[in-house]
Parts: sequence; structure tokens; C-alpha cells
Amino acid sequence: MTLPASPLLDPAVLARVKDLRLVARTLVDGAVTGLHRQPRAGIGVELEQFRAYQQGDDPRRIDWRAHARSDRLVVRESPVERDVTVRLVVDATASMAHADEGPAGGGGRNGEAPLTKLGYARMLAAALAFLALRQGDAVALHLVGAPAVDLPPLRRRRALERMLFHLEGMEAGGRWPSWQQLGPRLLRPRRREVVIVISDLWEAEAEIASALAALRALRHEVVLLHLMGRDELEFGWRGDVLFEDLETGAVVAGDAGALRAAYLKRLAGWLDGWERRAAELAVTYRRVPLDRPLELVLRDVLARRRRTR
Amino acid sequence: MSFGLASPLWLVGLSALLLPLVLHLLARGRGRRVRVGSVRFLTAAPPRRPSRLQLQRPLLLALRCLLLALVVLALTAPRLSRASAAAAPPVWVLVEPGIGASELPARAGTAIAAGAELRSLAPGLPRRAAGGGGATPEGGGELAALPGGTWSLLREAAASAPAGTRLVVVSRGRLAALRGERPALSNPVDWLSVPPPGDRGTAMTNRWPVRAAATPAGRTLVVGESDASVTTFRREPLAAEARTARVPPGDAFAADDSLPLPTAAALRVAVLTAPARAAEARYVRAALAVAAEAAGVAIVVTPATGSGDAVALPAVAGTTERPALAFWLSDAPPPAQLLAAVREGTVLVTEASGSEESCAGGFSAAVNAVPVMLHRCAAAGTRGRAAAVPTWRSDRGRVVLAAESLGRGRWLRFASRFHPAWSDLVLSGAFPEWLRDLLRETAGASAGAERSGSDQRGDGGQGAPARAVARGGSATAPPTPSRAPEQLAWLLLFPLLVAERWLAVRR
Repeated sequence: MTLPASPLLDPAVLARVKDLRLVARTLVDGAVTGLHRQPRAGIGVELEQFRAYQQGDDPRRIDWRAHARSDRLVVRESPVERDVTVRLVVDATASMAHADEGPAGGGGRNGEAPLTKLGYARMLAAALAFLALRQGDAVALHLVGAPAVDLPPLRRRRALERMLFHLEGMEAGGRWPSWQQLGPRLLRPRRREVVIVISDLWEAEAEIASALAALRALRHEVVLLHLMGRDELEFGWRGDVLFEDLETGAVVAGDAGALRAAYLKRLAGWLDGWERRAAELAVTYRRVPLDRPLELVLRDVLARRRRTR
Repeated sequence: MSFGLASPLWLVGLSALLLPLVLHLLARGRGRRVRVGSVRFLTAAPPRRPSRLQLQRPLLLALRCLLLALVVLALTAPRLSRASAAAAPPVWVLVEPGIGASELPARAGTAIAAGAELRSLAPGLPRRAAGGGGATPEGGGELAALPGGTWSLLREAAASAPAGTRLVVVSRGRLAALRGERPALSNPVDWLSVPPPGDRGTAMTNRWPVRAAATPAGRTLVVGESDASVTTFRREPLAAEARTARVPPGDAFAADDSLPLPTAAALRVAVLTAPARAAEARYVRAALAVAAEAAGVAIVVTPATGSGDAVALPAVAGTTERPALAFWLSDAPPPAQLLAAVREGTVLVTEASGSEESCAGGFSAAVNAVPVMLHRCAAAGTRGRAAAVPTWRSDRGRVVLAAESLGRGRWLRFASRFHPAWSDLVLSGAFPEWLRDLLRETAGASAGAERSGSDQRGDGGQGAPARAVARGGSATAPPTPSRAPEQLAWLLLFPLLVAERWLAVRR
């Protein structure tokens, strides 16, 4: 089942909402609620609620202190500790500043800046963090770029505020570091984690591919969300264009019409290579154009996780 | 249907069309800058072909050129006219007999050179050779002798000339030739004045009477003189027994049909003032002097003062010494001697007396005049006089001036005083105007008989016949150019601008 694209959930429209928490809540409540599972009540350290004793309940779960006070049999319930950590790795390198010029990017309507890959990644990461925290998962956040941000796995309610703070302030800059630099920030060998990487996969020397391989070697479940501009996918430019590389600053000038065929051919080979590599590493790979409604991406990720539980 | 431009100089603005052309050529060489995540798939692309002389986005260029052309077109104010440009109206130059070819003004010469028909301003409007006309010395007296004078000849010209013919009249501009009612013609008339032969080079071109006035020293006539560069006024004495005034070099104005010539006998005006009202008397006397000048009436003001409230009345009664107009400025009521004079024909003006009270509001001393403010009034005011007719009322309904007939005379009661602390009347132009009308009435002259000085001018241009009022879309009416093209150009600008913006920003 696919959700119809609602104008309210158009990424370009959502990008104009300054409150990232509201964006995340809107996405999760509007598109995902009903699909995900509620936390399972059971035995644990943390108290979630009391309820009256029912026949068949384990007598060990009766709270005797409460019984002494109220003279009623009350069972103590705690959320189940599933010990799952969702690690969000967001690419904040310079190339993420790319924005679609056409309607997909909002086209700068009403004087607003068009939606960049970074803006899309920001909303997606916020929604994923909101969703994971609501399900009781611990969430870690890593912003890869300059400056880098690393938030350890957090489960508390205030964890979302911290993440939203960093997501709202992040800017595109720098390049993807090597695994030697990035690995120590991500490694937590004792646990099995779900790592969601949001990136445009523009790399200089296979740094991202190395990182993905290393994460898989640690037996983490990896979801790779590949952000691509509609312009990049279809090469919709016309006339004489100066193409400037956001990361290297290199400039290529040419007639867009003449460059198009060769570009599309090379791009297709590159995308095929990533899909093949992801399949080899058993990484869940999803290509996400910037005009794709965010709730569809969320549903996709959630469905994938339910299958793997 | 013809097309014209009201401001053709703006066509220079069409050179601005080069601007978008240059911009497009420059833009073609630069290319648009696009920031992408990576150019790795473009590095191996073939290099850009050398620039060809081919404009990018020709539709946008055309639209921008059209926009500029429309702006220029709108600025040139194009007009559509139904009249054919080739059908220029014919011109008749009508020259008064006695004016030689050498005397013709340059404008008339230009018209003749352009093909205008030259005719004599004489019965039958005979054609006249371009170089002739001066051989027969005919004075302006002939024109003046004709019944209707110049006006009848102009009517004849309008009737016999083709429709729409422009009439250029060259005349000495003597008033004697402009008797009768000024006709309303459908033809446009240009009036060119030629100075009398004797005055050329030395005397003023135009002379006209401005105003006749009488002073105790005698009667005078103010005469205006002007030529092309200067206008002056001077005062000339009038003989005491003269019934007409004469403006050199020969135009005479009878007292009954042109200027109201003052009579030799001056009106007597008595300003009878109590010592406490000396200030009011000053305002009254000053305004009387101005009013007498304006009314063309000679007055002799007889001031009278007394001690306390008693005012000596030196000879206000009696037929020969009775003043025509008397002002009683005192707290005391007018004495019986004065009232007797009123019954014999004197106009008596009194102001407030007795206790006073504060009163506010304004009143108009004349129709369409600026309201005059009241500050204080007599407590009794003008109430209680059944025979009094309210003449001025304040905007709050209070009677400010009431007129009461007494015998052959009148008694005008002013509810305030002729003092700025009581009312603004003495500070307003309405005061001497009111007194002027009073003097005129008193002198027996018609208030509407006076004509303003400018109406008396003998200048031909001023005396030219009035243009006919539009007569139901007559064929001779000048064509009214339509502004539709200009308005259309302005209206088209906005949608074209929107289209240009849309084309410019779309990819």
C-alpha cells in the first residue's frame, strides 16, 4: 500500500516549518501511526504503570508495598527492555547543500530558499529520532561533516530536544572522513545496533563504502538512505551552464544538452554500483529523490525494521 | 483615421532596445552557474563548442524588446485622430482697410505665405492682392460707421468661408469698430492688432479706461495703457460738467453705456461719533474712502464728535445739508434731529449700544463671501423691532444686521460694533464692499452698472468674438484625438512584465 502524496507533507512545504519538532511529530503522527507496534509491557526495572491483579498474573509481580498501603493486589508493570539502539548517521558534508532548482526544490517560491539535501536529511532524521524514541528505542545521532556532532545513545525524553537542537543548527561543510576517523565515533561493540545512514554518497575515495562495510562487519543492521536531487537524477539543465562542485570547488562549463547523455550514462553506472555494493553487504538501500514525500520514506524504513525483528 | 505622437522625442528611447540584446549576448558567453554535489561525471564531457552567434532564449529576448518598445510607445503618447492630416483647415486673413502690406504682422505674413486667402475686412470681403491694400487710405472710421462694425463683417466671413476656416483678423483694434454684441462663431479667430499710423513707434498700442472716480478735488479717470512689453495706468482729470470720458486718441465712452462717471456733486456722509467710539470711527472712515473710490462716488465725510455720549449734530438736518449716509456711533440713541433726516431719505447706520454680551458664530456679509466672526454683541441686539428686516444672520440664527424703513430713508442696525474686539467685519474685505454698495444705492447708481476695467480694453485680441460652443457635433468642430493607443500600451505592460518574469525564472 502506498500513501498518496499529500500537499501538506510535500518536503518543500515541510521545509518552511521552522519547528523541527512539529515537523517530526506531523510526519510520524500523520503517516506512520498505526503501523508501528506499541511498547510491550513486561518485567523491568523502570516502572511504567500499576494495574489491578488479574488471575494468571505472576505473583512475583505483585507490589506488596502497594498492597500494604491500599489493601488491594496491584501488579507492577515495566516496559520491556529490548536493548535496541538506533544510530542516525547524517551526512552534513558540503555536497549536501545541493538544492533542486525546479518545482521539486520549491523553486525558491515566495522568496524562500529551495529545499536542500541537508534540509531533507534534517527532517528525515528528526522524524526517525522521534519515532524511535516513541517506540522506546535508544537513539544516537552523528552529524558527519564540519563541524561534527556525536550524541551517544539516549532514551530519555529530553534526548529528542538535544537532537533537534543539533539538527536545526547543522550546516553543510567539509568532507566525509575516513573510517579511521569516523569508526571510533560510531563503534559500540558490545551491542547490536540499527544504523541509518542518510547521505548523498558523494565521496572522494570510497570512505562511505568503507564505513558501511565496517558497520556490517560489526553485525549492525544498516539502512542506507541515498538522497539525490531530481536535477541530479534527470540532468534537467539546459543551455550553457557552469557546474560547480560543492565539495572540491571544481568548475565544469559546457552546453548542458551536450553533456547530458554522457552524464546520465555514468550516473546510471554509479547508482548500479551502489545498489550492487549494498546487496553484497546486506545493507538496506533506498534511493530517495528530494521530491519524495517523507512519510513514504518513514513507512519504508519502518516496514523494513518490522521484517527484521 | 490618422496616427500621431504627442511626444515624438521619446522615440529616442527605442535605442534602449540595444540593452536586452547586449545582455543576452553577454549572458550567452557566461553561462548559468549551478552548484552540484559532484562534477565527477562531467569532467570527461566534451568541451564546450566555441560560441556561435546564436542568442539563447530568443523568446525572452523578444519579450524584453517588446516591453521596452511598449514603454517608449506609451511615453510618446500616441493619438488616433479621425481627421485626415492632409485636410488642414483653410485660412482667411482679413485685413482692415487702411493697413498696408508693410504693416501686416509677421504671423499674418506667414499665413499668407502658407497659402492663406487675403481679403479686406470690408463689406463683401473683397479679395486683396498680397502687396496692396495700403494705397487707399481708409480710416477705421468706416468700420465704425457700419451697423455692427467689425462684428457684422466677421459674421459675413464666417458665413461665406468654407466650414472650419480659420479667420485671422488684422485690425487697428479700435473700440469704436467693436460695437454691439460679440458674436459666437464656429470658426476659430485669431486677432492681430496693428497700431494706429500716428502712434507707431512712440505711443502705446492700447488704451482703455479703467475707473472713473470723484474726489473732493475733482473727478478723475484712470486710463490703462499697454504695448507689447509694458502696461501702465495713469490718472487723467475729468471736467466737472463732462458727461463722457474720452480716451485718447479718440474713443469716447458715454457715462450711461460704458463707465459710471461720477457726478460732480459729492455725496455727504456724516460719521457722528461719541468720544468713546473714536476707534470705531477710524475704521469706518478708512473703509468709506476705499468704498467711495470703488463705487466711483465722490463723498465728503463730515465727522462730528462730542463730549461724553453727547454728540454735536452740526447741521445734519435740513434739506440742503442733509447727509445721504450717516453713521451714529454712540451709546446714546440717535437724536430726533437725525431720525428726522432719515425720514427725509438719509440712510442711517448704527451699531450696538447699551449692555453687551458675548456671542459667537460667523455671518456672511455677502453671498459666497468668507464668513466673518462675531465676538461680542449688544444684549438687546436687534430684537423687539417688528419693522426691522433681518439682512445678515449669524450661523446661529442671531440677527446681525437689520434694516428698518423710516419715511424715505432707512435705518440699518448693526448688532455688534465696527471694532475688531467686537467683530472681524472691519478687518474683512466685506466691510468696504458693503459700504461701496451702500454708497451706490445712496447715489442712485445701479450696482451692476460697473464694468471691470479689463472689460473696457480696446485691444482686438481681448475683444475677439467668442468661439462657438460645440453645436451638437458640428462637422467643423476640431477633431478630438483618441488616447486609446497610449492607454492600451500602458495596459499591456503589466501582463507582459509578468510573462517576462515567468520566462526569466523558469528553467
